[in-house]
Amino acid sequence: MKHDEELLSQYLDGELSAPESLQLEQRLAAEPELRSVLEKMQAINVTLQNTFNTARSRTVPGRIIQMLNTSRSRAPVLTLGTRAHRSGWGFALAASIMAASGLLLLQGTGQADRPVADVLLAQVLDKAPSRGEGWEMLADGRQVRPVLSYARTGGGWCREYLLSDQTGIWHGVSCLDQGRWVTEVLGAQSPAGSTNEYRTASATDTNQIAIFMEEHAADIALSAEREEELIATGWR
Amino acid sequence: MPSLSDSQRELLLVELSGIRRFCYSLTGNHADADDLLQITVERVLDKGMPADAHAAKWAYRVCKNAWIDELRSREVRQKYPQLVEEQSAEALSAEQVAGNDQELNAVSVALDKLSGDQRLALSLVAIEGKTYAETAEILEVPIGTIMSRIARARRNLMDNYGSSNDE
Repeated sequence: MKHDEELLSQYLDGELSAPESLQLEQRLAAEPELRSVLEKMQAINVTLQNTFNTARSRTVPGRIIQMLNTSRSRAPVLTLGTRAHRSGWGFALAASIMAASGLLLLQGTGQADRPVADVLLAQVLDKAPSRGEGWEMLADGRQVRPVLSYARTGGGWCREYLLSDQTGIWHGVSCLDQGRWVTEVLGAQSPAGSTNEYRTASATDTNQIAIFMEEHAADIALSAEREEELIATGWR
Repeated sequence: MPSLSDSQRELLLVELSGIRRFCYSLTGNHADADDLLQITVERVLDKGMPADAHAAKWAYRVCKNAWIDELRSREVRQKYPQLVEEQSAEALSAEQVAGNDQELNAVSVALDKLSGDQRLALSLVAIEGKTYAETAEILEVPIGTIMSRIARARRNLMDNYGSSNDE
């Protein structure tokens, strides 16, 4: 039986060759006791899957994702976008806050080196349609709301979004660049605990979002139908 | 040892949720699973990995070693219980017996009776969906060893889980 249990185990895990599987299946049809052992093994497998393969079991704490993101670079916050003037931005950005938002950081002048959205954020930008309310949950506890999408002058696509984490709510724009979502603009919308999702239109960071769109948007925001088409085709 | 390359880091980020599930299957509770995952990531970042290393398999191996280290330190703590606070054990029972966690409790009790080697092999194959070859590579043992460990693990679970469920 010991050898049979190894065979059954390998069969359950898809590790037998086709001829070996066929031979075992013939035995299973003829030997009820053998079949009973396999059924018990299958039941154990199902129990293990149901018990341990849950959404909660796969949820990674944000602090651990940050460990991988922040260890990439310890450079201070960089300026984003392509405008020469940085005065009056008023962004409450510091290295620790940017790190807490889960975005990868690179030190640079904003020309060649711009942060690439982490994989969790990128998955949402790839697949989730824009919405006026509600949030997409990320595996690390952050929440994202794509707000609108538009074509970029010179080709490509950009998406404006809100990002909520333990530090507060962030307002950003990321654009596709060679298949990767690159963060072009990011600002603190409101600190953690604030009940207001939006500050007034005169807030400096919202102005910077508007300025970027004014400079880089080829047209008005995409319709829901057009956005859906692009999501379905991988933004091609 | 070189630090992580960007592609290794990205691969690791993608695999993190699977490794977290692996940690949970080994520890049986979310707090310890988070701790084990954090230790794993800390060690990977501290020690780095070879440029040609497969990031996911390497990380699973680091996780396995970290869990084995934890088991060994538990053995020491069990020998000297007066030195240990039992808070984690109390939190475990509170988490497991509440509501829908009775199934988890029964399975965890049965899994705790497996040897570390059997539990590792079974978790990687039955929960993580790794092949025997991948599992052998992660655990650094021959494939034949994986086959026998998994079969014995399943036999032990059938004996222990079945009997505890009947109680």
